Amino acid sequence: MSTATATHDEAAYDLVPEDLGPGVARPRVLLVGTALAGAGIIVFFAALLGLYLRVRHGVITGPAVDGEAPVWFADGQVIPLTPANVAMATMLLSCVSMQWAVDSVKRDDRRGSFFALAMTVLFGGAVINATSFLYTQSGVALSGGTNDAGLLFYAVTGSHLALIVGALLFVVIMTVRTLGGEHGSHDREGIVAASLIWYLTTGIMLAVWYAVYVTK
Amino acid sequence: MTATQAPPAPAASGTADSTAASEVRPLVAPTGLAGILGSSDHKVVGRLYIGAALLLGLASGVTGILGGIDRIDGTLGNTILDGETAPQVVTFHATSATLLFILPALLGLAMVVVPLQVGARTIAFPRAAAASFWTFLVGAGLTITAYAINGGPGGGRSDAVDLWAASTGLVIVGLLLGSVCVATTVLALRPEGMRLERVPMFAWSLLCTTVIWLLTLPVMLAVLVVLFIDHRNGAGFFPTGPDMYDQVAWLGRQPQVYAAAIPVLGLVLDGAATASRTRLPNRGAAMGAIGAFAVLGIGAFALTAISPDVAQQPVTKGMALLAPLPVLAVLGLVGLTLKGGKPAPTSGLVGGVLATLILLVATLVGAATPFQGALELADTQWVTAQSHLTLVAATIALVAGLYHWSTKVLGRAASEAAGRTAPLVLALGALVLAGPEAVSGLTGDRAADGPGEALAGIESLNGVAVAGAGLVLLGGLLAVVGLVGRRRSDEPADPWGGQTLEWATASPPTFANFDGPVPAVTSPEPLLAETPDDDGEDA
Repeated sequence: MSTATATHDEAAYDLVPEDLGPGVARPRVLLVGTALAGAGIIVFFAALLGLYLRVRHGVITGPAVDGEAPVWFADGQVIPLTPANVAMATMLLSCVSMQWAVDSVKRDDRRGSFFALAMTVLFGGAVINATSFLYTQSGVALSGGTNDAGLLFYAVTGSHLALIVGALLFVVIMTVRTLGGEHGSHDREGIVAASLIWYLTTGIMLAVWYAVYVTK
Repeated sequence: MTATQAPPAPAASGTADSTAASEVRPLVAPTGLAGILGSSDHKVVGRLYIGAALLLGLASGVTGILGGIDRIDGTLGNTILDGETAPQVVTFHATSATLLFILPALLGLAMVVVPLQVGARTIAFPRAAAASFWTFLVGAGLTITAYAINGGPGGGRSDAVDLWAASTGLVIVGLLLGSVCVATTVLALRPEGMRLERVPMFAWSLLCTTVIWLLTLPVMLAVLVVLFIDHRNGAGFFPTGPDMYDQVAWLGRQPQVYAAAIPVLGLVLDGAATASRTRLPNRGAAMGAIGAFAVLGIGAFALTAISPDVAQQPVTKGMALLAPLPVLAVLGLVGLTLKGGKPAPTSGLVGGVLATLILLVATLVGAATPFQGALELADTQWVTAQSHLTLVAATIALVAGLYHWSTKVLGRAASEAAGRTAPLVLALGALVLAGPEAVSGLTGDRAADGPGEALAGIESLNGVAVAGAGLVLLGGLLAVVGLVGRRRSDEPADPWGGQTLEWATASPPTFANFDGPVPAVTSPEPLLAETPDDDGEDA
């Protein structure tokens, strides 16, 4: 085992060593990596939402301003609930299509998996569209100075938009690999990892939707 | 990035034709620039991380000394640096010591050693590991650029401050990506028989370390996102000027600073067992102590923006008081290990023990901060002393690790004399640096980045502290010089008679780490003779 050589074999590039014995049940590499990355993402959004909620609590329980009760979003800043609800509902729907894709891959139903993944990507695009529309309706300006509410609103929701884009890319890559035959009933790790990130994105959106859009 | 990516495997593996073809045209690891820039080999990426971190560490050390010299009279910006530059120099030193030096250097060492230790033929997600380094390097370069053009927290040029926030975020993204690779390698790429409790202590400590980084560094990233949007749009959420640094200072302070020193405990345990050529007693306790210390290093809740009075919270005080216990437990286990064998004073052992002792002093210094009334140490130089001790302990462990695994990391045996001397110089420097800082902290001298007026008559203490910083830098340079060593044609694969899997492969390791399948592991020390406690039936 210790003889040095200038050559190498192709097993070195495999994510899982091929010489792993058949009786060894290790966690899947991509799933473990995705779970670890997911933990980091959760912490990131927990920090952002924690900051948002703490600052908001400090403002709305603070002293009156000019004799009036303090408000979080200033005059002219409106967070419309309809596009937020539409985005949330679309995101939840996308979870159904994502699970459909996982199930289709499990059954080696390539046509079904492609259709389901395409729908998931479409739903993801629709959520981005709905959020963009919400931005145009909110009246919260970012450039030229804004208040704490506007700053944290864009920090939280903008970061979540970036997460959706990243998750979409992950799903698209796994779609291509599934269509290329890499993932099937024999190996669903990639598509399951993509679904894990997608469900995480949805879960975080649920928290953002309630904390930012509903309770404002 | 994928220059070393192998071509697709033969379609009909196992056929006579394909086997013959692969034998006729063996793949050769690329050399030269392509082998460096395009490699996703974990050993190359790890070396790149270490090299870059050492260079950045040098810059961090020099700026620390400059800041210390400027602050000898107790004030900033009144001697060798002007009032605008001095805070920038101090904050660069404080942030770069962790983000640009210790964390990436330890990650680099982990990238080289951990896959070998756990018997993996590659790191998990090798392309992501390479991407993590290049992301880190670009981020580090932009961070330095931002400081150079008057950026940094509280810098005078608005665009440069934005650049600093964005580039620091990029550095963190790179480190997080690398952390995922290392942690996944330990969790999912172990060979048959290597249960998690059989993982070498250094690999275990790096698993704990990277998981803690994954659970805390995203908080820093979130702060930087808000800080970037805030500063770029003039929202005024965070304070501007030098006070902006308060939002990121928690990364280098207790308890979060301990997250940079977790590998100290793994290294000393591995070093002691290897030097004694005996088994580590009570591995469960050792793993528990490392895990406990890792938990005590979770400092993300100490975010200034969320918890401005975090130092006064019971959980912070409790963590500070508990921190010395795992370190003491590890020292006790090291003593038992050494007692059970015939230890040789290897560089890994000497450096590991010194690093742990300095870390113990750091945790004891940190344990004094919660006491109020008689001691009012918050925001004084006492806190700076605690951070310095912790970070130098991690530096000593890094040096010890580089020497212990020099044949694996560099492919050559480093000078043992330098490997034993450099940690001594570093440890001495840490005490000479932190001692006067602690004393001045007791007298009420505020931290370099803290508010308040300078105390009169502390010039001599500050002067000694600067001399200590110089010793630390000297120790670091000595370590680097000793690492160069000399390449021999008969380089031993295992100069120590090691007991874990990294010593079962060539030095330097082959491209795929191990030439053949790694046999089933039956004990935590697979290279030692089997005992009745081993899983003989697995072999």
